Amino acid sequence: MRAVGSGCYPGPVGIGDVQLSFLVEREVFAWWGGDDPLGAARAVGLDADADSVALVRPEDGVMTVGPVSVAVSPAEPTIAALAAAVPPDGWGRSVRAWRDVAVALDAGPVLADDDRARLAAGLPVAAHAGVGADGATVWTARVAVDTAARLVDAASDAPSVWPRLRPYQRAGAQWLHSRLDEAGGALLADEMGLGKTVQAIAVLASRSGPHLVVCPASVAGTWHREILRFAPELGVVEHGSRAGRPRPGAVVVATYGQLRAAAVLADTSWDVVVLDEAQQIKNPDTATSRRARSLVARGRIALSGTPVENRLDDLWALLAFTTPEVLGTRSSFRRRFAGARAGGGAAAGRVAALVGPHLLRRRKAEVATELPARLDLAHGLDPTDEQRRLHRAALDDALGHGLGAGRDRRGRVLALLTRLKQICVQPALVAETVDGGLDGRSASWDRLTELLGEIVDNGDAALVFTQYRRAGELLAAHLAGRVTDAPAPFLHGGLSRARRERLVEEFSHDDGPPVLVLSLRAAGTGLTLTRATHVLHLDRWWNPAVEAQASDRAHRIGQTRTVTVHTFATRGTVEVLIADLHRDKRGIASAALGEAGGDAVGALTRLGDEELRAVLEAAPC
Amino acid sequence: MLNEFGTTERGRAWLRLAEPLRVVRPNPHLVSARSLARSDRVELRRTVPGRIEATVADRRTVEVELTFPLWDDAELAAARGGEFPGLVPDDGSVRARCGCGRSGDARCRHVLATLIELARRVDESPELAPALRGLEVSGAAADPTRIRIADLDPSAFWT
Repeated sequence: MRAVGSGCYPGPVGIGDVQLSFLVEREVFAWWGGDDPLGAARAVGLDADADSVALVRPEDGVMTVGPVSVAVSPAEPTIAALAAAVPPDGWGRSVRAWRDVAVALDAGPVLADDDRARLAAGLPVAAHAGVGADGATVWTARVAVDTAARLVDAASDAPSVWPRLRPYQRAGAQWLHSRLDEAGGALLADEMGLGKTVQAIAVLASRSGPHLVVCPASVAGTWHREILRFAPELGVVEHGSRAGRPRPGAVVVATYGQLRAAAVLADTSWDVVVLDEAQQIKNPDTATSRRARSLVARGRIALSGTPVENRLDDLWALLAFTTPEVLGTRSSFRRRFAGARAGGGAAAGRVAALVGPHLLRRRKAEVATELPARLDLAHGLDPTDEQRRLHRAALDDALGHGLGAGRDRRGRVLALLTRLKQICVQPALVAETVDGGLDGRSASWDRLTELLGEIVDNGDAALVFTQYRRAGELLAAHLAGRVTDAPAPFLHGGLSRARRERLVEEFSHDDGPPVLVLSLRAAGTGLTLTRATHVLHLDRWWNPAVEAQASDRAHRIGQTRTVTVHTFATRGTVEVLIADLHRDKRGIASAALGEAGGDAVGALTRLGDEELRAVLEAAPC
Repeated sequence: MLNEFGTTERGRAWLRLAEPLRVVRPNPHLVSARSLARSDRVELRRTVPGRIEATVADRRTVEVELTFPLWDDAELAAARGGEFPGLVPDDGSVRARCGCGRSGDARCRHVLATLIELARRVDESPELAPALRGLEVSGAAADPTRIRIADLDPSAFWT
């Protein structure tokens, strides 16, 4: 049966011509249509896998979106097979158009711009019909051809970070790159955990510099390390007191606080400026926001995991940084979209159409085939000055007196380890006097608060585990006004069983509190809390099995979405030692303790004083 | 109440066709027309130079058509130079037809609702106002990376 020119597909999916679509964010081809997609792939000599992917198709003259049974084959062998085989008559135009591309690539993988444009013009929509991970668009034929060409061009001059990205991250980095060229800026709003940082680094690595990254203090260290890890060829410097003019090719990492204070940042002409956690400038009247907008740069990237597309004022503030001409002045934007501000509806959809080209937001659910059911995010952090001081003082104090021997020694080592872990969580836990403030004292505490804000903004729910009752109480109260309206509920052993059951019950409702703080011992093992898609461990357990048991509260049967598990490790502290043990690698911890994963604390108590200090200080500050 | 239609100068000019300043008596149709527009029940099917086609989902769905004169050559030349010679046609030159059959000299609520919705669209897209009078639209740079699903052409899907 043949598809007819009117665009109506004759009959249900699975019957009709064989079609071939390239899926840009997976970098694979999908064979579909016909009676037997797997057989179609086999007919050209390809070993393909059955899958189901979201495609657009016309139905009664209207575009519809839905899952379609496909056979998926990797890009490179598919191009090679198409170049070698002539598709049978009667197969769809999309197959023949991709054969044209394959033949051209076979002749020489480096295609001139004109050739790519010509080949792209030959692709019908069916040849790039995969629904984007933003759920609202398809990638253009040109992007499909460029991506396929890059995959077969082994000698590509892409930066060295490129092969280490996931396919959808390459698509995102390519998109950013193209938007910087076309529009001077863009907002990458992928959901947390999809790797916005590394996509931005890939763009920085492909340009000349100098670049500026502005981020909250809690992630400045992460930026530094990720740049060194993924693009060591970029020199990275943290903005500090002795900062002079940045050299070309360098990346300067500065905090929002430094952006407010430092004139040199405003006086420099940057190649690309990246604002991480860009929702920090959503209030356009603040000095930070004005300073960010006045930075001089050829390209501007804003990164934010919060859903900005439905909040017109936030959207304006972010796009006023990336692409100021798109929405005009704030007052004119407000006048133009007064209707959308009042009630959303159709007008909000038209705002989305206006800003759509400048905003890429993908959710984990849409990228799910790329992602494991459980995503582990290890947040590495730099200690605050207070944490550094307290950690050193605790070690000096304990080891200065000597830890003694026998049962007493064991008790003293345990007390020391607990104190060190609490300093990492929140110095207020070990302070002699309670002076009220909690902000800015613990890197992981601040980061956890920011993460929860983003999670709640996205309409998701989270579990926060701690082993310290006092930490749970402080955190539950701390979140009120910052992340949630009311203090977060705290499920701990001091509550009656009925009270605990009620907290679990309330949390399980869709409109229940978005954050539940739990002490693992009280939470037990029988609980199912699958409404949560994020699990955050405020502090670490020596035994990875205990942490895994906690994470399983959310990640268990009945959970249909990807669960993200967050852990924190503050550099130069006991947390790095624990993280090292959990990874079970032959690092400092295993070397010192022998069998890792066994009774780690028991092994620590058997070390001599100096060995113990060496292990606890092993990670460099 | 928040003034939600005709919030820009250009949009307001169109709104005046529905709500002329010289009217002294309250128009009962105007209240329901505003309500129809506010609840997104007016769909502008086509907005092309000199012509608007809309459907209004009232108790039953009715089709509305507005036609109005384009700028003449002299006016267009002035518009290209940036001098807009009156963005909105004279009230008397706008012809309205409505499927409800009750339109005559007095405009029915569906025609008024269409004008109000048009005012809102002009608010949102200021370049629409001169385009409706026949000024060529400069080809806005399309996104070369992604196409909204709603903007895909079903007839170009297979071939």
